[in-house]
Amino acid sequence: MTVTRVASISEVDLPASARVISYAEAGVEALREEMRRDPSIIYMGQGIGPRGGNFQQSRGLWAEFGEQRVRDTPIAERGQAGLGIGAALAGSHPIVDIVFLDFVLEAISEIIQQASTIHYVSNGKFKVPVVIRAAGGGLRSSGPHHSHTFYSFFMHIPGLKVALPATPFDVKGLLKTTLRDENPVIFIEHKGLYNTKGRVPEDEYFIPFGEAVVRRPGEHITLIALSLMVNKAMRAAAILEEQGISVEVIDPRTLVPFDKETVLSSVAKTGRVVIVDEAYASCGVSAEIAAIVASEALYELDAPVLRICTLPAPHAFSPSLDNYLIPSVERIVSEVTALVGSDL
Amino acid sequence: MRPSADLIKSLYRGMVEIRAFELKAREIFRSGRMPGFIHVYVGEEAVAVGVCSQLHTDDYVASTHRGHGHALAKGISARKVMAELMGAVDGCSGGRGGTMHLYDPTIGFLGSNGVVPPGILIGTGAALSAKVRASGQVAVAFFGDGAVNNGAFHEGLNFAATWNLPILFVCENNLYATEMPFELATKNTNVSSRAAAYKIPGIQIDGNNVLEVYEKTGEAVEQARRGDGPTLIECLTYRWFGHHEGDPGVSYRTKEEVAIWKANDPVTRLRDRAIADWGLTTAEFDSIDSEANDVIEDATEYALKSPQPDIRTALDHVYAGEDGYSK
Amino acid sequence: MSISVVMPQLGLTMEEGTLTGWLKKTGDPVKKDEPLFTLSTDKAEMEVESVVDGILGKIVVQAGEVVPVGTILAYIEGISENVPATSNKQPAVEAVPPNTPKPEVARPPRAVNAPTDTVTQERVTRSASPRAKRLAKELNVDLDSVNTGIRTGTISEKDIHRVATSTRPSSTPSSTHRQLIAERLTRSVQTIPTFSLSVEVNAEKLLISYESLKEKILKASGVKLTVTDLLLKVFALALKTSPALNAIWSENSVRNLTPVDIGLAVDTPKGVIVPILRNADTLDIPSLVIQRLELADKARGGQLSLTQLEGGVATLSNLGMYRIDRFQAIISPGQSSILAVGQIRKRPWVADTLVIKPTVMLNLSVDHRVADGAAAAVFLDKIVEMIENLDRAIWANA
Repeated sequence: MTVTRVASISEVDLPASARVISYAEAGVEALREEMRRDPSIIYMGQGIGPRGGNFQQSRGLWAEFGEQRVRDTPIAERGQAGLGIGAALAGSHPIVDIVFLDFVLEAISEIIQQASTIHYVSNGKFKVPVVIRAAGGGLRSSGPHHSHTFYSFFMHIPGLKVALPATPFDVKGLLKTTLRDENPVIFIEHKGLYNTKGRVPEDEYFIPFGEAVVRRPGEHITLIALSLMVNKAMRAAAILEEQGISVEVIDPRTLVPFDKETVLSSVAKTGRVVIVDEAYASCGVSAEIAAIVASEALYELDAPVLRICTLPAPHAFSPSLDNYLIPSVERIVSEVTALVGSDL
Repeated sequence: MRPSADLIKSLYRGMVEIRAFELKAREIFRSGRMPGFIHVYVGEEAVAVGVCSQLHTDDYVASTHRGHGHALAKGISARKVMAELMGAVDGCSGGRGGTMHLYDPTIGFLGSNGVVPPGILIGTGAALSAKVRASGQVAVAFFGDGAVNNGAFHEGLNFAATWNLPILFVCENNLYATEMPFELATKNTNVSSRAAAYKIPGIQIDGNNVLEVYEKTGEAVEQARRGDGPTLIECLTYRWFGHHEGDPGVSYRTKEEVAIWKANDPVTRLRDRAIADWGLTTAEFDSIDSEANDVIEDATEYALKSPQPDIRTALDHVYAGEDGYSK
Repeated sequence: MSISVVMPQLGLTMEEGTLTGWLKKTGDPVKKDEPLFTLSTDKAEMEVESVVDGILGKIVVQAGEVVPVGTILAYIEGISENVPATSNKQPAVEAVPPNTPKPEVARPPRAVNAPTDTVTQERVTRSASPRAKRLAKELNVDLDSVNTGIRTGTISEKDIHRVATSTRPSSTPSSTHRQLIAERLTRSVQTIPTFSLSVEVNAEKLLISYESLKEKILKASGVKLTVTDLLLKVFALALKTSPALNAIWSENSVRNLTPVDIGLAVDTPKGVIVPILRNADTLDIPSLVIQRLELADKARGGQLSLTQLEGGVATLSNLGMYRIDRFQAIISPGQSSILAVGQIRKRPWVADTLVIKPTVMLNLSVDHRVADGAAAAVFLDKIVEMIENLDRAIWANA
């Protein structure tokens, strides 16, 4: 069965009457629907059972599906991931909730050495349908160990898929698609997004991987934004519009597969690219997108590629430093203006 | 219950096949025809055979870098394993994995592994799946003394104990992890005693006595299958050769020690005891030896004739499904 | 930007000319209408002026050489972007960046940079963005002809588009109209040997007919007749009955035409435009009025198609709405005559005695290659006859 994509439903087309729910609720809905449908889905992580998850990201699941399928774990991310992989090999579809993306590093060996390779090295005999779910990004000075944005190394390793939803609509659609996928999927949410609200249809829908969305059409510059940065980018774009700079904001929604076509055709139109990423610039997703543009759209570029990322320092605790280090709306506005402004 | 003569012969057959296979693999490797590097199991055959003989076809086994014995004992054909060692397309992993990535889902073989302890976690995960599905399957995670000081050992055993999972943790303690003697790696050299920390049963047995391995495994498997949780079985054994081919294995071990353990050969011990206590004849065992050799000769010929994979398939199977969706 | 300077056709029989002297040296600035060189033909010695502001570039033909008409004599360079190439025959030329400072005599044009930079015949290629380079190739824009980009030194897409639109060929609607006029009429002056005849015509009967026809046509067709319409009709009829003038010079010979297509000079905010009234001789007056109105409207709105502008044998140009008594107009290239009409006003008229009559001055310029003085005179005479006896002429053909 192939994933059904209800093509006529898009976030933009939703009627004004469509109900509004939070990002966290949207994720839970996806999980609930899929877990009802597919008994092989099991869910484990710290605090995701009766408590419903640190971010309420699993609320109600333990009550409905019970302790066999929804299991609280001790603090053992490597063990959690390893068990998830083993269970996947044995026919289950486990979701391993790492909660804070920072702690995925405890499990990285299992994810990269085992999960990403087994399907290939077994010559296709074993599938590894495991989901690694976590929330990344900074929120209210969470500090150096609770603020990271790790996705570039997952994008780097073949065999993994990476989803990065920025809206409630996208969370539900992508999580449902994830749970129909037989590959290991790294599903990265953002702590700052859990309480954001958006319209989500009641009817079932899926969002295929590899489909970016143009959140805001524009003429002068293509802005690719990741995760929470989408919201900042939209605010910056509104300010820039008043200054006469028309920004086209693209949200890739998934990093692997990555929708190159949408990005490249936007660049052909605007001739300028800026990437806004809360991760670091060096060897990050922003660097990868810049490389793609340079190799496949060089002759469309009218200006150098601009990357707006977290400055290269550990995440400082003090709010003044933290807000300075991560990309802010002000920084986006001023850097885009500097790149574009006088050339219009 | 006293094992039958057929069982004895079957256990013997299992061990000599592994022995012949490993000796042959060494020979091919030394002739320069085998890519990569291998870790041979010679001397430890009783553990793999004793344990796997108690498992159903659909029970799970997670193996290590020293996994040929586990693979053969669980049921992958010698042909397929030998071909895989050659990187040939007829290998059990299509030549893509090699010695440390032998896989076979049809018999629950969850793979040998190039990283030391993940097998413990993978085996535990399979046991978790079996439990959730209430399938009655059990899992076995093999690992060596080198794994027991790693966090994965602790996390795996803790998960299995806490969740009461149907798994056997079988430690092949051959006293050395690569070149590190076990007593220099840890203060508590009794692996089985660690089970107490997780409140699961732990036993230490003579890993070169295949009947004892068989018997104790049987008990642990029954316990797991009826839902009474995991067991840690420490099998004391010894590898005749170095850690990997190319390591002479005597820079950190004495020749005397090796000689003592060679005299403790699980194969000859079974044979001698069977002749003595079960009335089986030398001729029967010789005949089994010869059959085993034939199988290995055949496997070798098969493997050496098998071609390398077509490079046009190099990017196949990075992802499952055409677009990854298939449910 | 640069244009070429050619040996002009000055005179009917001129086939070649002798360039007797250059009045400027390579590198000298030249101004429009400033004498540039002297030449002599079998008939005369004359000075030829520059048609643009610029800098005299490479001199191809030296003083003393005899060359055929049309030969490129030299190039004028450093022309600012608003002035186009003068003709389609311009070969690709080495262009000097327009902001080159005034170079010294006899030295090749310098690059823009500081004097200490290596001066070579090669230009300094400024950096351009990849998009700009691609566009420059696609739109046939020479990167070196582009002004420095907005961002210091780097040429961007916007700069390419700016240059491309200003140098588009004259047949596309968006090119500057003045460039078009300049190019065409300069060509006309340079290539058509022109003479003109003038006459003062008694317009009394013209005015009477006009008044009566005006009412009639307004009632019958709802359109407003003008004197120009009547003159167009007369002109057309005259051409119809004068094959000698219903012809053009084309490919080195006289080409007689059958239809009578007349241009009407229309003043528009962009400049004069000459739409063509096709088969003007066959149109009855109301139809002529309607067409004239439509063409004039479209001309002012910039909506004329190329076919409405091409061809025609002659043009009527009427400045009679202003206080212009008489003037001489320039023949449209491709045509063979133009009739310039001044204002109708009361003037002294001598019949047998001195009286006051409304008169109008006509000036007819003719391409000498097509018709000589006598033929032109006969033609103009016919026009005079029709105007002074308009009722008969018009009623016969209305």
